[in-house]
Amino acid sequence: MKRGFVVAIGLVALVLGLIILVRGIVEHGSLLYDLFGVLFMALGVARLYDARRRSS
Amino acid sequence: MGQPEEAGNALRRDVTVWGSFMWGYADVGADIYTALGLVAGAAMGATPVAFAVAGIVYLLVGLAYTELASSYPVAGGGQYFTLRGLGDVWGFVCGSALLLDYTIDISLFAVSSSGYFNFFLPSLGVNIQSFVVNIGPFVGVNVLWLVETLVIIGFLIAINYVGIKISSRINEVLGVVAIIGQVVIVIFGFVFAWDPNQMLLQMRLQFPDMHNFMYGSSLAIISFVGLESISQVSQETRRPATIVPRTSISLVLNVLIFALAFSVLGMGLLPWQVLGAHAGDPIAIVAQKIPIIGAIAAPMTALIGGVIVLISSNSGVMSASRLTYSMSTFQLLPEWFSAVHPRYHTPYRTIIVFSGVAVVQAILAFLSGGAMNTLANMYAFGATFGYLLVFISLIVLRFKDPFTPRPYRMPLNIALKGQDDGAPRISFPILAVIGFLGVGTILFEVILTHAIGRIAGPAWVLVMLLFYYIYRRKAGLPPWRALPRDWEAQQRHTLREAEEFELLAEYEQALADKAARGGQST
Repeated sequence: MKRGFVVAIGLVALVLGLIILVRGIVEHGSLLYDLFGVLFMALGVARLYDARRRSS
Repeated sequence: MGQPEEAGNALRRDVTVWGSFMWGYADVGADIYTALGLVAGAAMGATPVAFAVAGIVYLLVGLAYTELASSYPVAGGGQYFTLRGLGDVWGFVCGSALLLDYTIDISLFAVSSSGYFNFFLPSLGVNIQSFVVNIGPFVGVNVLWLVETLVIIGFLIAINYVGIKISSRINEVLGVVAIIGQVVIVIFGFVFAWDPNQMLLQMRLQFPDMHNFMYGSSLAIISFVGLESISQVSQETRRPATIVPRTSISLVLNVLIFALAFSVLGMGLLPWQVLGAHAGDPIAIVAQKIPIIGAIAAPMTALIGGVIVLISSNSGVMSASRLTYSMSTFQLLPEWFSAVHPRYHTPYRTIIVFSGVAVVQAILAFLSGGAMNTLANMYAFGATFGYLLVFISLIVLRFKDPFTPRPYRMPLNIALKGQDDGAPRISFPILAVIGFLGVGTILFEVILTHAIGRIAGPAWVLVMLLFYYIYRRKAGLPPWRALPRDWEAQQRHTLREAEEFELLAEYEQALADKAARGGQST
C-alpha cells in the first residue's frame, strides 16, 4: 500500500475518532460511543505511525 | 441419463472475480434497502436484535454455500446440491422454492426500486398517494407504483435477453457506486448524528412481544438472501474453486456489517415507527436525518437505493433463468427451457417465462393492498425452505461424495473413519447441523407468523410438483425415482471446463484409489 494512502487513512480515522469523542462527551455522554472515538483515534495513530516507520 | 451439457448450449465462462462478487452483492447487498423498513415495522425496538439473529443464520448459510459452490461450480446452486445429495424429487422441490425466491426477487426489488425513485415525486409536485384507487374488491391499489414496477421488469427482461456480459458490466459499475454511498452514509451517520441513547431507549421501552419478534426476525432473513447468486454464476466464473470462496466470504462479511450498521444507525436516528412507515425508502429517510450532508445525502441515497435495488432485481432475472436452465438440463423441467439463444448465448426462454411470473406476482401483490409485505412473506418462505434442504444436502454429500475435492470446508468438523480400509476420512460438519437448526427455526417462525407466506409458499411448491409429475410422466421418466446419472463424468467435465486442473488431478486420484479398493460408484 502506498505511503500517501496510509497517511490519508490515518488522518481520516484520527479526525473521525476525535469528532466521535467530542460528540460523545458534549452531546450524550455515552461511554460506549466515547470508546468508539478512542478506538478510531488509536487506529488513526497506528496508521500514521506505520507510515512514518515505512519512510524511515 | 442426465449428461453434461453440450458445447453448443453451454453458458460462457466470462464472469471475473469482481463480476462474481458484484453478482452476489447486487442481490444480497441491496436487501437491507428493502428490509429495514419492513423489519422495523415488525420488530419495533428490537430491530437490530432481529437483524443480528438472522445474521448469525445467514453466516452459516454463507459458509455452506461457499463450500458447495466451490466444490460443484455449476449453474443451479441449491437445487443442484440437493439433486446430488437427495435425488431428483428433493432437487426439484428445492429448485422450485428457490425459483419462487428468484421470481419474488425480481418483483419485490422492482417494487422497492420504484419506491426509492418515488422519493423524488414530491419535489416534482406529484403526490404518490393520489394514485391509490379501489378496483372492485381490491382496496388501496397504487396504480402509478404498479406501472413503474412493470416498466422496470420489462427493462430487465430486455437487458438479460441480450446477454450476461452487458448485465455484469452494469452490475459492476453500479455496485461500486452503491458501496461508496453506503460507506459515506454509515460513517457520517455514526459520526455526526447517531444517538446511542435513543437506540437503547427504544430497545428497553419498545421491545416487541414474541409474535412480533418472530415475525421481524423471519423478515430480517430477507436482508441476507442472495448468496445463491454466486452459486448460480459459478458456472460462468473463471477458476471458480479459487474465486468463489474468496468472493463468497468477502460478501458474507460485507453484507453482515452493512445490515447491522444500518439497523443500529437507523434506530439511533429515528423512532422505529418512522422507519416502518417508510418501507419503500427507509435508507433515504435515515440519510435525511444526517446533519450537514443530509440535504444532499437523502436524494443521493434514494438514487443509489433505487439503482442498487434495481440491480438486485436484475440478478433475480439472471438467477431464475440459470436455475431453470440447470433444472431442464437434469430433466427436472422440460428441455424446452434449456435452449440458449443462438446469437446472445442466453437462456432466453426462461428469462421470458419466469420474469413473466414475476410480473403476475407484482400485480397480485399490489392488488393485495400491501405489495412489499406480501412479497416479503413469500420471499422468506422460499429462502428458508431452500436453505434447509441445502444444509441437509451438505451433510449427506460429505458421506455420499467424499471424493470431490473441497477447496473450502465449513469449519468445525468431526473426522469419521471411511467406509472401508483406505477410504477417505469423512468429516462431519457440526456447523452445518447448527445452521440446519437455525434455518429450521426461522422457517418455523415464517410458517407461524406469515399469514400469506405459509399459504402461498407451500402452494407454489405443490403446483410446481404437480407440473413436475405431469412432465416426467409424459416424458416416460419415473416421477418419484432419481434417474441414474454419471456424477463422476459430470464432475470431471465441470472441473475441466472450469480449468481447475489441479482439482481435476486430485479428483482423478481419489477415484483411482476408490477403483483400486473395488468401491462402488456414487
